[in-house]
Amino acid sequence: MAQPSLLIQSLINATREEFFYHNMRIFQLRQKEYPFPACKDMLQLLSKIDDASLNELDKLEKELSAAEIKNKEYLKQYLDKIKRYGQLVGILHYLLTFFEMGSREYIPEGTRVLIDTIVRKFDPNATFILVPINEHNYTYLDLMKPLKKALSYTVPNIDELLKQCSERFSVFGFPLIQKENSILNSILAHEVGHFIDDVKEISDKLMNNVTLDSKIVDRIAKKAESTLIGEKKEIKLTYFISPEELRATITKLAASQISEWLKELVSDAIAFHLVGPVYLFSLTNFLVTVIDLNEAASDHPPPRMRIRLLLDIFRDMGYPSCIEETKGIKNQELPSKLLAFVQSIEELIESADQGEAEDFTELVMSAVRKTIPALRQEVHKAVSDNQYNPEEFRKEVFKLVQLLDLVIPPAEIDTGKPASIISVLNVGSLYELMQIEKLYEILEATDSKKQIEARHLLHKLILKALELSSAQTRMGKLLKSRD
Amino acid sequence: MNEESGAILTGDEIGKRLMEGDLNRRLFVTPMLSKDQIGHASVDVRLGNEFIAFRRTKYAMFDPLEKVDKLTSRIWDFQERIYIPLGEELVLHPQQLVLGCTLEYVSLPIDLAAEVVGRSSWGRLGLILSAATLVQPGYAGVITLELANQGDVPLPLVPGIRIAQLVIKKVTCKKDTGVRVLKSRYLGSVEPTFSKIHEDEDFEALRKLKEQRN
Repeated sequence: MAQPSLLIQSLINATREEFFYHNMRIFQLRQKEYPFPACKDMLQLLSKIDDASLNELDKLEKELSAAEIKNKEYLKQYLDKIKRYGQLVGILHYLLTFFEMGSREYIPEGTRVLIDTIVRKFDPNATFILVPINEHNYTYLDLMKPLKKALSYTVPNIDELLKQCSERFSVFGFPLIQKENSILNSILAHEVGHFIDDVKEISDKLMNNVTLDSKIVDRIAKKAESTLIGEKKEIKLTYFISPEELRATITKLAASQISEWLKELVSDAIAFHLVGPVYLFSLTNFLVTVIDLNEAASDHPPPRMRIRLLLDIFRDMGYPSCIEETKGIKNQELPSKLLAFVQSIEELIESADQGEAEDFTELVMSAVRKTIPALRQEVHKAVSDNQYNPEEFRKEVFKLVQLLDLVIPPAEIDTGKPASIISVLNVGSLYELMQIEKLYEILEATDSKKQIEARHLLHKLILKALELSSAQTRMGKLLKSRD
Repeated sequence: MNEESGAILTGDEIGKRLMEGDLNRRLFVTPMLSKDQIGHASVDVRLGNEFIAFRRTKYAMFDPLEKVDKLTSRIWDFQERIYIPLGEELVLHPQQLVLGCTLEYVSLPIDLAAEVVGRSSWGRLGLILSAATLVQPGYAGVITLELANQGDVPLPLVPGIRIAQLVIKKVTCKKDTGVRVLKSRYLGSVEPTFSKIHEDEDFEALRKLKEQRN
């Protein structure tokens, strides 16, 4: 039976080669400068997995030469073992894509400070990296999940290796073309929301309280029962599926969509608690420029619902009254402009034609709406200790904004006192939306090209402020302790 | 305060200008990590994290008489941008020049100018801030530093370390126009800026002369 063993031998060699090239790529990537130490730690782990896998393939090869492959069942067992390593190396290759782009050249220091601050507000020991992506989107992924799954069927004693790693390895993605726009990149707080939801299982718990409107389920089921299918539309759907099964399927599909929507809404609510109004403004900008306000997707609620939730939290956390107070104290137009701007968002989402939702969307939407009060309560419980407060906003933002009028990064509240990173983001957002004309004036930016350059300068000043505020906090502490 | 035109501000005067309530008159050196950065007649500034090293291997020379369009499009080819995080260092070898910048963002009101002076402690090790830089009134940005190692041994450049001093001078400001920021080619710099010498108007004339000769 020489032929099958030769075949298996060649398959082992091909798989081994894949691991070898994977390891070579890791070696090259380890030469790069990464802004997050976790990158090099993970590359080291992946390299160890390569070594362990190559050892296992060597063992398999020895087994093979000693074995007599007598029947097809025996052959199948070997093929299965090799296939698992093939699948593993495929996943390992995929994981490397995150490290190709995560190097210093694509991630400005200010952007690193931004994500670092938001994540560590919740978990000071979290392991994560930030990766620019080539699409206009923000993403979150826990790398340990696919890795653990792939390893569980292959390398034995891998638990020892994984014990040295943290339970989660989060990868946050942001659009590469926006690498210097930290105001828009405050949307990363939503992705951090997914991470917190993962840890705290908020949306999973909320699913236990979800109730579906049985009338709408009946209406959908009845419509489906009378649907005719087939080429000539002559066969009733109930020929294939019983009415009970049909209702069960509708319920299952609705539950799956509700779960996805709750995840998004929980993350939105967390993001607002963590970074304040900048998230409301950036998300509105991000969504409204690309999606219709009423457009629902299976994995995302309509923008109207998301913005409505944020406006309600903005109001209930006390931002309007706090901003009102500032109107009296400071002789500035900004507080009034800010309140008028929020009002215009409110009007936008209320005035637009909501149309009539499809039955299924209505079913999901009604169930999610009923869950919102519990959702807000759970989110508040999870992040209220780390939230950004209206009082902080009032005290810092209106003071810092004056620095941008002088083309100075808003890094310090007073000489020697660093501004909070989140206040820096908020001041950038307010300035961009409501006061950018002053910068246009200083830079004599009269045409659109020069105005875009002026906005770019604003983004650079905000990035610099994030960097300086962080440096001051980190180094200032050490210098003071020395004094 | 007795600030006369041309006079160098004392440490006390600098301290007062840093805390000035009128933002149009305030001197900004941000962030101010430690009060003892203010000396008797100067304020210390620290080394920033970003550097520009020169790529030596790609082009024979940087020729400012080259056509400006051509030069502008490949100006980046001469530079290698390097970021050194706090707690790490860049090694500057003997006879090597890099551009760095101050950690601090400096903004001068219309009645103050500043001179950047290297610290003698570094100079004694061979590190020279090659040119004395005059920072004009109304400037806002980080200050680009030309760092050259004239010594015989490699020197570590450590971001966050005090690298130079700003000597602040009072300048005559005939009329207060209420304008603080003056538009300039380097306004709002947040990183070291490569030479823009080729943008000088004089080179336009010199380029034309070169073309006529050819």
